[in-house]
Formats: sequence, structure tokens, C-alpha cells
Amino acid sequence: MKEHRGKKVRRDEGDYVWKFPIQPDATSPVYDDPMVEMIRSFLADLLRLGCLTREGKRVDVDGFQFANDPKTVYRIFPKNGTGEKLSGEK
Amino acid sequence: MKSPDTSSRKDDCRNLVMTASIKEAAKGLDPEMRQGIGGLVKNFREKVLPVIDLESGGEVVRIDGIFVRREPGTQRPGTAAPSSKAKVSTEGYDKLASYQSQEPRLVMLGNFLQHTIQCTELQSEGKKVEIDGFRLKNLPFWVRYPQPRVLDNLGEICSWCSCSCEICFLKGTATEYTKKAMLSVVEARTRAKYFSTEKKLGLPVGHAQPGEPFLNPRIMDILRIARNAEPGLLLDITTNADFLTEKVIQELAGLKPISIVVSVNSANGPLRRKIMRSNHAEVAIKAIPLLREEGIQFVGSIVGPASVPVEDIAETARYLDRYSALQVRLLLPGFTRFHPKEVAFDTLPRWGDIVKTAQQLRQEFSTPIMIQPGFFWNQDISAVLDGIYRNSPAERAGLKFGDRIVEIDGQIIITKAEASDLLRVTLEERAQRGCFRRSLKVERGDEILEVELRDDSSVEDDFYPYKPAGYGLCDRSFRGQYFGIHLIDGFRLESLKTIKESIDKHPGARRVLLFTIPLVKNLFAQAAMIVGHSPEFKLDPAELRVTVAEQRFWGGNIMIGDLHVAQDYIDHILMLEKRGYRPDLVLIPRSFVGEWGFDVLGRSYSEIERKTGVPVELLTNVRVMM
Repeated sequence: MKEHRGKKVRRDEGDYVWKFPIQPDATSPVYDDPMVEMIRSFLADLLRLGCLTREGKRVDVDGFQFANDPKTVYRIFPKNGTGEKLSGEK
Repeated sequence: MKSPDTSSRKDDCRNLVMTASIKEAAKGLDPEMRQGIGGLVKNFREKVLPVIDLESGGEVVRIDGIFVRREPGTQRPGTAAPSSKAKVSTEGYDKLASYQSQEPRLVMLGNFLQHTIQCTELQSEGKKVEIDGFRLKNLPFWVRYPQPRVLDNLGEICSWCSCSCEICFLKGTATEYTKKAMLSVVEARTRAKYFSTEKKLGLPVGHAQPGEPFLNPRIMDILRIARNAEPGLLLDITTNADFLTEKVIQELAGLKPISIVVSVNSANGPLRRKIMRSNHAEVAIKAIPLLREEGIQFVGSIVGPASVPVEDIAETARYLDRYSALQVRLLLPGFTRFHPKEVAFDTLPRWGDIVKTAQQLRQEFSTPIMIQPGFFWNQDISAVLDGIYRNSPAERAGLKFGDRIVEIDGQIIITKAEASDLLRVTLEERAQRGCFRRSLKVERGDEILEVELRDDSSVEDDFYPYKPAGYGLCDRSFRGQYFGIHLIDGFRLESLKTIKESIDKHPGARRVLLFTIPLVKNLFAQAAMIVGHSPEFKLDPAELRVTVAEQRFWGGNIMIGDLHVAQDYIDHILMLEKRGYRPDLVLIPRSFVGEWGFDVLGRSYSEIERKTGVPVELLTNVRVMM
């Protein structure tokens, strides 16, 4: 039994359930590789919510690279609107 | 086929198990990449799955295996249909995008899941599962969103409307971030159950289109849930009154304290039927005297589209005054580019006619007349009284519309905002109960009057409409301001300090562009004249340029800052740049975005800087309610 506001309540007893479908992204993917696209999309969402900082100061980022391929830079926000497919930039 | 390495089933990111069927494709998989992705997904499982459940076909599934694919998987999000075993259809799903403004991390979670299922294989008890949804669990964790009352945390009671007003502001405003809601009793009960009245925190609320709450067949049950959760607090409802029959009003009386905003629009039945396309015009009109009879406080709201003669607006206002409305609210009509062309009208003459009508009516009766947007007609930031409620301490003390407060309890008052702050009854005062007092000095013409305001009413006392019987000194919003003095929300001098502080964050900025709206520009100039020479407000060496962005998205005659979208600002900055002015810094009042910085279209304000290359500061504490 869980406690809430001093009362013991059975978990989910008669509670409304908030359910969300997992839906396809309305925008076209920027990168074909789904693993790259997952990271890009995650970073883009993150940067819409806030910003990254270093020692308390804001750091602007616009791309990322993987440790095993430092020559390839992937853009977080596509330059020319959504749907632009990029293979990565060197 | 079983994986050859069954000892690794516990998701150790260093030993990710590949099923035999995709082993061949995975030969080229880089171990560091697998490790990184696996770590991310493992983290997700440990940190996020305690507060959400994953679903497949409408049923919760427990994931005990996550395998990273090298190649995209066969499942695409949103393609898994509910299984025949599912107890609920996909129609029972909430709209994730509607939570963007209050909890964008939930939307981010949905996006993450959407991508994850494309490059992982999820298993439950050794079997592959196709995830197509998720649900919140551990609801106490999700009680983290500030709301003043349970009623606010219920969200919209019903998104549909029984009318189709010719200039309804909802026409053409549907966005992907808005949902249509019909609140169920189960949801209302759950929200009330978990709401923390002590911390004023509740469950997340998705943004829903407002509508007519009495179209919800369970409205009374829902209101009772809110009433039982917070017995003393004022419940307020906005309604077109099409369904406020005598029986319904009597039931509402049992839920006091309750305050109703009635969208009357016209007290003339045939005209009301025409402009609102209402089939229950007579019910709505008759509701007014019934509300008075039952001692329920109400505000009468009138939108005056161009097709309604100003004489009818005046007659409707008189009708409301006859039955002691707390306030008559005149909404200066607006239209957007989404409205039919025939709805458009010449704004300034029409608004001017309505304001003139209101000024004449103020000579006739004492019910306060509020015009929105207030700053269209009231450009004075000093503490001039905008209205006095009937049967209020202010009325008993002899205060009148147009008096100017110059001192409260010995403190000199310059602006409306200062006066409102000092008139507000504090939590400490409320805790002590008893009598609430203020001593005022008020300017009336050439005279200075000294006035004592006292509110020592008890719950049983009847000072309708200011404080009807059965109403305590509830936490009133803009309507019943303390002591019965109504002041429209004023420009705060602190806003200038906020501007300076924002500029100081960018020491190199010389050309600073400040966005405002036409109705506030003059107020800003007045404030600058009052305090501009004070060192704490000086902006040197920066040069401040004040500008107004066109409302391109909404068009029409919309001129409220809260409705600008990020693209409006982007377009304006780029336009100025083409004309040879490139700012070093842009300042924008943050009223056009929500808490997380998203505009009404769900676009982040950070896009402005990204698209223009100019740093943007949102001005907090710079918001003027219209």
C-alpha cells in the first residue's frame, strides 16, 4: 500500500489512467540511420527545453559527433528546414 | 531461437545479446556504439520505467530485455493496432502534444520511445513485444505542477460548444498542441485525489480547447468533486448559460461559494439567437434574474461584434445592472485572418463606439464596467480607480470611479500595480481573520480625501454582489478585488529594472531592440519619464529601440502581445536587418510563451535566436494582463 497525503491507498485503485500512443514523428527524419536520428532528435528536444552550460555559462551547440568517428559531425538542427537528409559532414 | 549467451539476460550494457535472427546483420556493429546506445536505453529503463509503463495493444507489458539492432527494425511507431485482447481502443489515448506547454519532457519521452523502438528489440518473458504506447504510473511522482486550486487542475471540462458565435475566437485556432476534452468523473476524481492543497501542486494538464462546460453531462458531479476537495474556495465557471435552467441554478446554489461568468452578449432573444446561433437564447437571458434570486455572484460578459448595434450593448448592460451583476465586462471584438471575411470590420471606430457607450453608462449606473483590452481606453498608469463594486467596503466609504489613490497606509502610491499590491489581503492577515483595513488618501478633482476601508464581514453576511451570503473572503481573481476596488492590471515600474538587468547580462550590447505592443508603448513611455533618470533604471551606454512586431500569424485586428508567435519576431528582426538595423540584443516580454518557452504553436522562443543569430532575452515580470 502506498501513502499519499497521510492516507494509505492501494496503487491505482480506480484511478484514471493517462495513456499516450507512440506515434510517428510528423517531420521527416534528418538522418537515415535511426540510431543517429535518435540521438539528434533527443538533443534537439533537449535544446528546445533549455541549454547546455559550462561552469555556469551558456554553451551554444549545433552538432555532435561520435567518439568512434570524430571526423563526422552531425547537425542537430537541419539547415534548410526539416526533412533535409544529410550523411554527416566532415 | 534462443540467444547463445543466456547469462547476459540482465541487460548488462557490455554484453548485449543479439537474437540469432539478426546476428548476421549485427556483425559489423561497433562495440562502442552498441555500448553507448545500450547505456542510454539501460538508463531509460532504470530511471524512467519506474514512472511510466509501456503498453502493447492497450495492455501494460513488463520489459525485461532490450536488444540493440544494427539495422532499423520492422516496427514503425503507431502501426501496432490494439490486440483483440485490448480492453481499450486507441481512442482512449490522450494527446501527447497537448502537454507540450506544461511538460515538454513528457513529449520528449514519447519522441525518445518512438526512436528507440526503431533501433531496439524489446522483449517480455523471452518474447518480442511491439510497444505502441505508454502510460503514467506512480501518480504521486507526477504531482508536480503548480495550480492554485483543484478546479484549475481539472483542466477544461468540455471542449465543445452549443453555440457558433460569428466572431468566436476559437474559429481557426486549432493547433496540433490543443486537444478536445470531455472531462470524465474518473479523471476529475483522480485529479482531486492527488492534488496537494498544501503545496498547490497537481497532475499534468494537457492544453485543451475551451468550450461550454455545461455540455458535459457530468458537470455537476465534477463541480461537486472540486467543491468537496476544497470546501471554502471560490469555484468559477464561464458559460454561455444556454443550459442554466432554474433547476441547474438551484443545484449550483448548493455549491456556493461559486461565481459565474455569463457570456450574455445580448439580452434580446432574437438577436442573441442570430449572433450566437444559440437555440437556448431565452434560457440564457432568464438565467440572469435567477442567479440573482439564488444569491449566486455573476459577471455579465458582452462581446460586441459589428453586427450588434451599440444601443443593444447598452440595453444588455442595463439588464445586467438591474440584477446586480458584480461587473459588466465589455470585450472589444477581435477577428483573425481565419475568420470569414464578412466578419471583419473597421476596428478603431467600432471600438471607439463601444468605449463611448461604456462612458455614458458609467453616468447611469454603479455596476463597474470593465473593457478588455483595458489599455485601449485607459492609458494612465497612475492608480485611478477603474470600478467600485456594489455593497463593498469601497462603496460604503464613498469611493467613486475616477478617484486617484495617492497613499495607502502612509505609503505613497504612483501606479495601479502598487495600489493593487497594497490592497491585496495577505496570507498573514487572512490567517488572523477578523477585520481587514486600509487607510487611503484619494484625489478627487482638487480635493484630497481620507478614507478608511474596513472589511469585517462574516460568511453569513449578505453584501451581494461583492460578498453574497455563504461566501467568505475567498481567494478572488481579477473579479472581486479586495475591498471592492477594481484596478485593471497596471504597468509595473519594476519592468524597467528588468529591462536594465537583461541588458546588463550582455555587456557588449549597444543596439538593444525591445518589443512591445501598441497598447503598452505609451505606458512604457510614462514609466520611463517617472523613473528613467534614476541610476537603477539607467540604460546607458545601450541604445534602446522600441518596436512592435506585426501579428502575421493571426492577422486581423489582433494586437495582444500574448498572441505573438516566434515567427512574428523572426520576421520583424530580419526585416529591420534588411533596412540596415541589426540589433546586438533583443528583449521580448515573455507573455507570448509559456513556462517552458513555447509559443501557442508549440515553437520554442530559442528558434528566434537560432534563425536570426541575435541573442534574445525574455523579460520576466513584464506582463500586462488585458
